[in-house]
Amino acid sequence: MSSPILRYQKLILPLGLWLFSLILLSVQSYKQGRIRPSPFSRSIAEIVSLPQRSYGYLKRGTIRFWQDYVYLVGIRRQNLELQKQLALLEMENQMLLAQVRETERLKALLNFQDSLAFKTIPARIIGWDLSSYAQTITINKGSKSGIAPDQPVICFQGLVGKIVDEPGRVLSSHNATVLLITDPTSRVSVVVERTRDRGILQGTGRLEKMLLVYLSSDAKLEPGDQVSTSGLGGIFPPGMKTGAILNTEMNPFFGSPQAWVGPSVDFKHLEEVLVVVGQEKKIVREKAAAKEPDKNVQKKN
Amino acid sequence: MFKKRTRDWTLVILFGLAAVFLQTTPLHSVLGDKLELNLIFGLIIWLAFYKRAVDSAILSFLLASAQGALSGVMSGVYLLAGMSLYLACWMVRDRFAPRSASGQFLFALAFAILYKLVLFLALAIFVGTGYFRAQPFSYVLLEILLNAFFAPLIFILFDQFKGFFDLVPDLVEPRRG
Repeated sequence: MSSPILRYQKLILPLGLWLFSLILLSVQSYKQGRIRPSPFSRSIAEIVSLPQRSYGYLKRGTIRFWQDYVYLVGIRRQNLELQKQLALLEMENQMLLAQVRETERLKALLNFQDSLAFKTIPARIIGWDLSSYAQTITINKGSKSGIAPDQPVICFQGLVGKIVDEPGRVLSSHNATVLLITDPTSRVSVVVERTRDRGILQGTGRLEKMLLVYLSSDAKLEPGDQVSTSGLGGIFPPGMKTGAILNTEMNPFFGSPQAWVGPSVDFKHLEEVLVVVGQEKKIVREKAAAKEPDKNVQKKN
Repeated sequence: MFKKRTRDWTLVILFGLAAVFLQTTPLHSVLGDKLELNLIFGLIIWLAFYKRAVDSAILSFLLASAQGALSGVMSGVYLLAGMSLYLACWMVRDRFAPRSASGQFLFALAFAILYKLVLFLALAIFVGTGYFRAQPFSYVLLEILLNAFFAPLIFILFDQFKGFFDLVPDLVEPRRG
């Protein structure tokens, strides 16, 4: 008859690894926000980012090929039956229009980038999280491009989220994870533009709505009121559009007012974003201007 | 023997990485953000049933860690759920051996429910209940069915690989006791 140790020796490793994973999760939970992803996690993110980038290029190429060629060949054939010359012109026109649309989209992004008072880096979305709970995206710029945790991410429609570097949300050298403002763990200090009521905008895990909480009891909000960042908290710059009030209600547990907010960004069709990497240009210019007179005075003295 | 084992490990790790890539990019484009087709779920069940304890435990740990790394939530949540799934499968592997497609589906369905329960519990205890609003209940059920349906397909896929790479299952290994 074998000893109990021999009988259960095969269980030691699976059980040990299960216990280890439980301890690891407990440590992550205890040190939430103060713990960085392991080198293993970073390596996985790096490896997976390669096919993610290739997929992005392939997808864009296929769409462009379809829109600019295959689709137009169909139109051309149809038009040839009616009038050959007109079909050729139509094709040319369509190709130019597609180019114009893309140029306009990129120009809008560039104009938006120029109009900003911040130093930004443009990035493309190459992947999403694999969980059905979280709301994170992966972009094709990482720490090598100057991306760092807590940097705000925006697009011309408004605030998108911020860069995170935690276990499960990795920032590696060539790609970065963006925590969307719709993620359940996201909290943004905001202000309602019309009434100047302050509150905290928290994600619900749904792309179409967020919850505005911690409003003052006398807050009088109306549907359509614009909500933007307050600048409190030090991560997001003030005045960034986040969304508009959908409807207000009373919190059933605390009896305080709260409001549902529709995001200003169309997350489902988001392709490019800007990462805010530097401080305000205006402030830099003002500081520079303020230093100039001092120098002149010193020279005179 | 060592060569066979290396091939075995390489194949599983490559499939795991491919699964993570598929889940984060093309599958997400198709299924959206509310449904998660979990390919690693099927792979962990397969490992627990058809591979020796040491190899399957370590490979399952690595796969669950890889999944956690890109999950978007605290990585340990997916690691714990993956290891719980592995442990549960491993403990019953000598008592059940579903061979028919429907049997495998029902088997995978039971484990898909268990996996989802562990995920919910881990999220509630270690992260917070905020995530519960993220996925409507109808989607939870749909996701369980989807994963239970696809898991046996992974068994079939690996059975094909088994023939190609000469990966003989270790189920024939005699159990002590």
